[in-house]
Amino acid sequence: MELLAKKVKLIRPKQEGYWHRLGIKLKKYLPIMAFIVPAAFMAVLFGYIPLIFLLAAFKTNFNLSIYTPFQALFSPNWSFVQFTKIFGENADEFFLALKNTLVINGIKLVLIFPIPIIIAIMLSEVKNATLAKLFLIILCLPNFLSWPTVIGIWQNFFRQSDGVINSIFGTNIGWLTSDNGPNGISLFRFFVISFDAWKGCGWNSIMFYTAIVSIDKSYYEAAELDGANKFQQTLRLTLPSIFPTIALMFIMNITYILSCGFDEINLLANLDPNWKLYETTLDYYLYNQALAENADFSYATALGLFNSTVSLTFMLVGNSFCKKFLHRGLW
Amino acid sequence: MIHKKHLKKLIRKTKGDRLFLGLSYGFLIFFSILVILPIMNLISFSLTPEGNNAYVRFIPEGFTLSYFAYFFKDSQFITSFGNSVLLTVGVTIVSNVFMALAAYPLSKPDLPMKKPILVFFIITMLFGAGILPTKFMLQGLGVLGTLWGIFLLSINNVFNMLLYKSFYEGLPKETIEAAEVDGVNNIQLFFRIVLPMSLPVFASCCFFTIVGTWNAYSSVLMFVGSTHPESWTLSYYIYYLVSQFNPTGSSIIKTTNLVNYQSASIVISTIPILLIYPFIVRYIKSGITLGSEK
Repeated sequence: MELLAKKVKLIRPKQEGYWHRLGIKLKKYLPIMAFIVPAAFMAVLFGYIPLIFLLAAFKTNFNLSIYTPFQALFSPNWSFVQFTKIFGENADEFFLALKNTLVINGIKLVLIFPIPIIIAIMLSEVKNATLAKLFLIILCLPNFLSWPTVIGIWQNFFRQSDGVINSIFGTNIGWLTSDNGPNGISLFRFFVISFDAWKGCGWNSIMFYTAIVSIDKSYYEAAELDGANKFQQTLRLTLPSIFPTIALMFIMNITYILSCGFDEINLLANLDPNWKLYETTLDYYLYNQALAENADFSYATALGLFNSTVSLTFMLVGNSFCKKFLHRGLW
Repeated sequence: MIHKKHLKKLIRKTKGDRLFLGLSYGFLIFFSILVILPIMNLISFSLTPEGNNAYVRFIPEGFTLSYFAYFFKDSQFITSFGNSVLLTVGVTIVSNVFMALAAYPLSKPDLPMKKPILVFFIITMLFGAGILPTKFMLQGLGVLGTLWGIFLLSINNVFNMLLYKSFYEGLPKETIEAAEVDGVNNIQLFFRIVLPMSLPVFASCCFFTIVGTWNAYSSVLMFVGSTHPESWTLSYYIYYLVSQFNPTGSSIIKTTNLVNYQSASIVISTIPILLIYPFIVRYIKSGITLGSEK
């Protein structure tokens, strides 16, 4: 009898508190939690420690010295003068950069964004798998070329001497430079947008293509029986079915509206000596402020901080919007 | 009951359908040509001998390999090529090992502190400190202006980490539970079961890292710069050629044949990417689908 009581006691589950459960979990997971350490170390080193230098954005003047960085960072000359400089003293430059960025990204959003969707719809019409794959391989290729390569390729077409366009039409136009461009118009925006489209459209279509391929085929059979032709099927069936993907990509593009590819803009800017005068974007302005000969550490950091904060806000809002209405987030 | 064969007969392709199909093929072929022609033009320029540049369209006017030969003697080009290979191999191995490891515990649903750890990583992806703080950090570590600096900066790739994480989460639960019942601990589980099953995502992440590292020039522009030619990468070298800067006193910048030299260097720099491209195409789709379902 006593023995039985002892057994029953053994079988009865222990009262498990939060800490007890945590202890068991830790015992189970602590060995693999060590796997996080290398990545976390790198994240701290280049993601978190540099954030300390953002304090420099709140200084009147700031001379960073490698030997006494923290003395300078915590010296008591706090102020918001760098931020008033962005919107006061340098407002012209800043708002020009902001306007150009918004214009370029806005045009991309309206004119370039639909192209991958169209490519995906047309690609889904190709029933021969080998052929579809071949199209996909060709159209995705530019995405894997570097920006110097892409600009180099198109430079062969648009350069002034020996450029293909000029030698076909017998003209002598410096397409990539603003001073002797066609009728003195700078084609900068056109080039940024179209080179970007050339590079990215095929690749961006893959996401829509996989969404279309995963639509249930019986819907299409039903639509065919009802006498809907391909145009009607696309409009009434394909587009509504892939709408979540479209919305997700659209919101994702909106969240990136303050950054329009530094890489290509820097390259195009280098090709045009007069370029900086009237076409600059936020990324490029930031880079120029940071890496100029006599860079003002405080001002550049304040600009960077402003840009990062606004981008972060955009992304968080965009992500929570996606999670709420589309039930899937950006991350 | 209508048989499927009869169904096919019943639904005749209408005029609209055929128009749609024709339009689709037409546009796809048009877009493909738009991709291929500029690349053919590039290759033509790299093979065309002196004096024929004005006639080059999409096929070479004559044939010479002298532009390619030049780059096998240009010491700056060789240094840059070597640097690119070193950097790409190093970053691809280290970054993917770190990310694949870190993603594993994060794929466990009942990991303690899972959410804070995830947020900790995602913040570094969303909020950068900016160019100058990063530059100062590199200076403090004594790696500013060297390849090591670029290497260290390229290791953390939170996006890839999330790809690994969602792939691990999608692995069949039964296999993993069966292994757990057999008394395999978490570390053995990772190396014996999870890792061998994750080869597709490993391949596509490695491919993206290779392409990204090989093609990146702006990090070299910001943190190495023209004053350290010994640490240039190939895409930075091409950036200099394309921009027609001349810090190393290279003799080809001044020549009238710069177009041809430039085209040849671009062709050489693209060959490694083209070599791995076909092998990886079949993995791309799985990688992209993963990214979209995050």
